[in-house]
Amino acid sequence: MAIKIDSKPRGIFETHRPSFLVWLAFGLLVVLSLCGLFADLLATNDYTDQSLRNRFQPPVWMGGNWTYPLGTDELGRDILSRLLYGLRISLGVALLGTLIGAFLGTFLGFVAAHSKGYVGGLIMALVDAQAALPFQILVLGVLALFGNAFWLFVALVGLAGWETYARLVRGAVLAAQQEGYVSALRALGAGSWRIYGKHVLPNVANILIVQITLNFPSTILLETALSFLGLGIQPPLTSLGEMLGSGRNHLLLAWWIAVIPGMTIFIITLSMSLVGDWLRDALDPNLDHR
Amino acid sequence: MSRLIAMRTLRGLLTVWGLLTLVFVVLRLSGDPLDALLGDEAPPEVVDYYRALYGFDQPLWRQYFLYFWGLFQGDWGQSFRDGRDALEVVVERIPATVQLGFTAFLFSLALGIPLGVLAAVYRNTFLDRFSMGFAVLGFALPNFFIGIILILIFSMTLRWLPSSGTGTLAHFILPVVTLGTAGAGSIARFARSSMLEVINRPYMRTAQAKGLRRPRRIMWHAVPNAAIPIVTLLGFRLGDMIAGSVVVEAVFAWPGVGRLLVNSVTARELAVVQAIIVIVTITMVTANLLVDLAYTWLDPRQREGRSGHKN
Repeated sequence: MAIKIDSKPRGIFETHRPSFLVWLAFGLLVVLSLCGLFADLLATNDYTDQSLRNRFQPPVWMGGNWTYPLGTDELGRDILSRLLYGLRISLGVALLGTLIGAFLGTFLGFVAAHSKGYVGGLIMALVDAQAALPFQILVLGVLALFGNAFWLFVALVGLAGWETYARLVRGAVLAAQQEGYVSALRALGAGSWRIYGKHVLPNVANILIVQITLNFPSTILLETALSFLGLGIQPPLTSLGEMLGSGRNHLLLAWWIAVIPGMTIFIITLSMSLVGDWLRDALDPNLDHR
Repeated sequence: MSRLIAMRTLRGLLTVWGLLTLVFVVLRLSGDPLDALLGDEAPPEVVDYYRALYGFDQPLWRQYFLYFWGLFQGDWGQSFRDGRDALEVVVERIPATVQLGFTAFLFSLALGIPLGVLAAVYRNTFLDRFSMGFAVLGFALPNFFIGIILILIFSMTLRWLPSSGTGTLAHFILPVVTLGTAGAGSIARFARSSMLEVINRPYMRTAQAKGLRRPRRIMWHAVPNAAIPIVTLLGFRLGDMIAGSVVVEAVFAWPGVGRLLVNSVTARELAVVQAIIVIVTITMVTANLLVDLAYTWLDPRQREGRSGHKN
C-alpha cells in the first residue's frame, strides 16, 4: 500500500486564494507603479511646461482634445504628464519612507531586545513617546525649524511608523530567545548578531512584510497630506498631494484638476489596504480569522 | 490604586519633560536664534543687547533652567509677526478647534459604534460587509479629498452648505463629516471585533436561558462589556483627530489651532509652533493618562492585575 505524501510546500496563493477584488487591487498597483516608473517615456508633454493659452482645458470625455487627455491646470500644464510624475514622486517617497522606517525599526527592535539595560529602556521609551504623539505635528515642527528640503522630508516620512516594527521585532526576538533553536545555536557558539540576522530575522520576515504593506497607505497619506498643505513636496517637483492642493483653488472652474489626483491617491491606498489585509490573513498564522 | 495613579502621572510628566528638553536642545543646536530674528546685517551692539535680553549670554545649564522657568510663568516666546505672546496667539484659537474636534468625535462615535455592533450581531450578512466596506473606505479616503468632494457636491453643485468659515451651525456640517468619517471607520472595526469577543460568552448564554429577548441581551449584556476595550481606542483617536484637524481646518478655512500651525510653519514662527507642539503633547499625555485610569476603573480585573497583585 503506497501512501502518496504531498510534501511540496504550498504557496500562499494556493492556501489563501485571493479574491477577485484583491487581484484587481494588485493589478492596479502594478499598473500605477509602472506608470510612475516609466513616467518619462509615457508623458506626452513636459510636466512643467506652461501654456497660458490652454489653461483649464477639460479632459477628453468632457469635450477636451487629445493633446491633453486629462485636461490642463491653472497654468496650462498637462495633467496626464503631471499625474505620471506625481505618481513617481508620491510612490517613490512612500516606498523609500516605508523602507527607512522598516529598517530602522527592525534594527532598533533587535537592539532593544538584545540590551535589556538603559539602551533597551530608552528605545522602548521612545517607542511609547512616538506612539503617544501625533507624528504629523512633530514633522511640522521640524519643517518649521529647518525649512523644507527634499531629503529631509523623505527622512521625516521614513521616521513615521518605525515604532511598530521595533515593537514587533523586539517581541519576536524575546519570544525566540526562549526557543530551542536559539539555545542550540548559542551552544554551538554562534554570536548574538549572527543568530538575529541569519536565524531570527527569517522567522519574523512574514510579520514584517505584512506590516510594511499595512504601513504603506499611512505613509502615502502622510506625504500627500503634507504636500497638500504646501509643506511637503515643493514645486517645480510635483506629487499627487501637491496637485490636489493647488487644484482645490479652482474647484468651481475646473474640478478635474483636484479630483483626478485625489482619485488616484484613493485607488492606491484602497488597493494597498486590500492587498495588505489579504497578505495578513495569508502569512500570519497566529491571527484568528474572523 | 493610588500608587498606580502616581506611577502613570510620573511617566506622563517624564514624557512632557523629555519633549521639552528635546525642543530646547534642537532649538539651541540649530544655530544662533538671533541670526534668524535679526538677520546677518544687524550691528553687534544690537545683537548683544538682545543676547542679554533673552539670556543667550548665560551658560547652557542656566539657559535650560531659565527656559523651564519661563514656560512655568507663561512666557513662551513671541510671535515675530505681531510681537504678541505666542501662548496667547495659540490659546485664543483653541475653542474653535475643540468645538470642531469634539463634534466630529461625537459624530464618529454615533456612526461607528452602531455600525460595528450591527456588523457583529449580523455577522457575515450584507450589513456586516457594508459596514466593514465603509470602514476600509473611511481609512483609504484621505480626509482632504473627502472634504473637497463634499465641497464640490454640497456647496458648489447643490448650494446647500457653506464651504468655508464659521459662525452658524451649517458651517459645522461639512468639516465635522470630513473629520469624523475616518474615525467612524476605525471605531466601527474595533467595536465589531470587541463585540464578537463577548457575544458568545457564557453570560450571554445565561441571559438567553433566562428568557431575555435579543435586543435586551445585546444592549444590556454584550454592549457594556464590549465597550471597555473601546475606551482604549479613544486615546488613539485623539491623536488622529489632532492630526486630522490640521488638514480639515486648512480645507474649510476653519479659524483653529490647526490652521494656525500650518501658517506658522510656512512663516517659520518658531515660538508659535513650539507652543502648539507643547500644548498638543500635554493634551495627549493627559488624555492617555485619563484613558488608562478610566480603563482600570471600568474593568475590575485590570485593577487587580495592574497594581502588582498576583494574577
